[in-house]
Amino acid sequence: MRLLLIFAIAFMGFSCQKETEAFLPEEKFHSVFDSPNEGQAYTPIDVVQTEDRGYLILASTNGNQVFVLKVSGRGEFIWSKTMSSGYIKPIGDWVQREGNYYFIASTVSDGTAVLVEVKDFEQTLSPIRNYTGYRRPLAFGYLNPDNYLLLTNNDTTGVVLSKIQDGFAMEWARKYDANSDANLYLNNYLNSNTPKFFVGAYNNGANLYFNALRPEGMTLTFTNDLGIETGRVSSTGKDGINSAFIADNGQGSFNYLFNDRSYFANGATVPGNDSTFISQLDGALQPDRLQNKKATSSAVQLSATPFMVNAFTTADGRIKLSFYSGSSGELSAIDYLGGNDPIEVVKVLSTEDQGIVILAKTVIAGVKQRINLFKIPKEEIVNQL
Amino acid sequence: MCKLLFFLFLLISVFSSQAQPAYEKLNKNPFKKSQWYIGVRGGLNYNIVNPINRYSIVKPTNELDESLYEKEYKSVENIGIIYGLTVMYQFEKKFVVGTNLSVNQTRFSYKQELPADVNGIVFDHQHDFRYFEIPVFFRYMFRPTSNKFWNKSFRKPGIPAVIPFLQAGVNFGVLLDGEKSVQRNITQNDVEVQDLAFTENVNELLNPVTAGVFVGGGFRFRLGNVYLTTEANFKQGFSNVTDPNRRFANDNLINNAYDVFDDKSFQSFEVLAGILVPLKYMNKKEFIPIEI
Repeated sequence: MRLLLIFAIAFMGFSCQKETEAFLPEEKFHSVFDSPNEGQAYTPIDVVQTEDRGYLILASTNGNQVFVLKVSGRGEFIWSKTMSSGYIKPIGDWVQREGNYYFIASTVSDGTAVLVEVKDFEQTLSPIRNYTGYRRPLAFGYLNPDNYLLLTNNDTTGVVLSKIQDGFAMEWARKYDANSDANLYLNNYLNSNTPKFFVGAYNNGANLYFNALRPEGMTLTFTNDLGIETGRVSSTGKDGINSAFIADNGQGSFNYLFNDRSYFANGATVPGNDSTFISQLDGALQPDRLQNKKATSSAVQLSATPFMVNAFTTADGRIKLSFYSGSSGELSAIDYLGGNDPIEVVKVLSTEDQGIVILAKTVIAGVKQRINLFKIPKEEIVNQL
Repeated sequence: MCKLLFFLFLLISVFSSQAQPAYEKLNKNPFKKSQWYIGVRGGLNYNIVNPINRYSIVKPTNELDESLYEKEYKSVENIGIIYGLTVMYQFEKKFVVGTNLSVNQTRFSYKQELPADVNGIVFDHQHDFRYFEIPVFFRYMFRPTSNKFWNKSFRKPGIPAVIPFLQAGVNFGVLLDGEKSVQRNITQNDVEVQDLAFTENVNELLNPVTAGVFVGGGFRFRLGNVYLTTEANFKQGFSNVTDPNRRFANDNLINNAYDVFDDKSFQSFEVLAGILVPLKYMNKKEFIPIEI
């Protein structure tokens, strides 16, 4: 009998061994948000972590309608709202101010940029400010924690950069080109390209940048804190920068297309006061990247060590995550997400628990375009480094 | 009259003094006060899943649709097999304590549908888990152990050829193997296509040890020098079969089947038959077992 007991205990001990690490529900999850209406296609745009450690997802639906989805810290559905049809074409990024969350949409009537306020606890979204005269918004984001940048495409001049103050009043706006038919020019470009428009700042807000269509092509433009152009990275044709992460010290990470090939330049010195061409970025070839899909990079802290994570959609329809050391810039680890159904990365976000959240778009069984949210715990990434 | 009473008292005393040594002789032989049994048994079980907390990869975009994405557990294809050894110790005429060393196949299935107007997408999930189960149970046998004169007369009642019994015990299961098969079918205009199928080992998603209780009953039939037993049991699992901290550990299931396990326990009905061989014999040449 004693022998039997020893055998049983040894057997149980052997059976208890597992190869994978255990994680709490908040640390690791995967959620796909579906609707019975298969004709309803969702295009995720941006995600932000909320004060309760949940997530707000900004998306557009058919007809470019505005859709906001609140998800718990475990990836569970909490609430969702579709904005009235008078407001369309939402754009990121999310910005946060005093517990509320904001993004930009357009009016249906004339494409005027509208600031939309989302009150998470009240589960409401409401347009609170029209930027009259500033139409066709392209990008929105932080200048610094209290001020914001808005990029619009004026139909008579072209791209316009505006500084938005703490209370969301516009402080200044600056045009850069004189294009009398800027909308048509942009429309023609969008017919055959999938550019990424974005704004940002570095050096504590002393230097600004935006990526937009300028007369010569997609151009990453650098300005001073008043929006006066100081430098640029120019490109022509289908070439262009697809994503940029610029650290406060002026070191940048760029995904870009050049001569029909995809590249990633990590730790490049930003030509903030110079005019260069995209060919001078000297990035590494990314042959497995699907060119017409998004790429994104962001800084993450893993066990107090800084890393740059670069994400793009691969040619076989998965998401490739490449982790680069923040100090040496060397590639440290690679991870893939996705299965048989194609999936496209939209955004990678560092979370409070030092994990990462990946917002993505998938098409299930070829018929349902849906929102995907992955949460990857810090430990799982660190184990690969 | 007084003499008659004295005579009767004396007679009873004599009988008592004659009976006591025989009874004590029988019962004071410790070899004959107990019996060990070993045997084999096998049978079938019907498994029912009892979800504790429900989880899903696929979630709604509207609160009205939340219930659409719950797994629908099926009541068919849930029959598994049980086989193993039995060891029992009978320490009293009516009571037996025992254990079974069994391999228990637990099968269950569910489907998850992504509802749609035209293109119906249905995931069919089949599960085949095997546990090494070590229950410990007490069995009470309904049998006459004494007539009104037994303790006095040393006439041992006959042991019935068929003895009904009830039993109850605790059950510990150690996971041997967990296998899951997934199929994805797409239906459009009554045309159904299977566009995905794979099988995956899911041991890492399951708790390695489970516990529960069971109650049941059956009959013991004497077949010469061995016993045939038939029994039916109801088993209630108390522990979560799923390892909640490894729910998202299997990338293939998550990314292709959009599936994670619910927290759940199992209930099962099982029907078994077995052969018990007693290990202690009165006469080893003729293998006459001790029957207490």
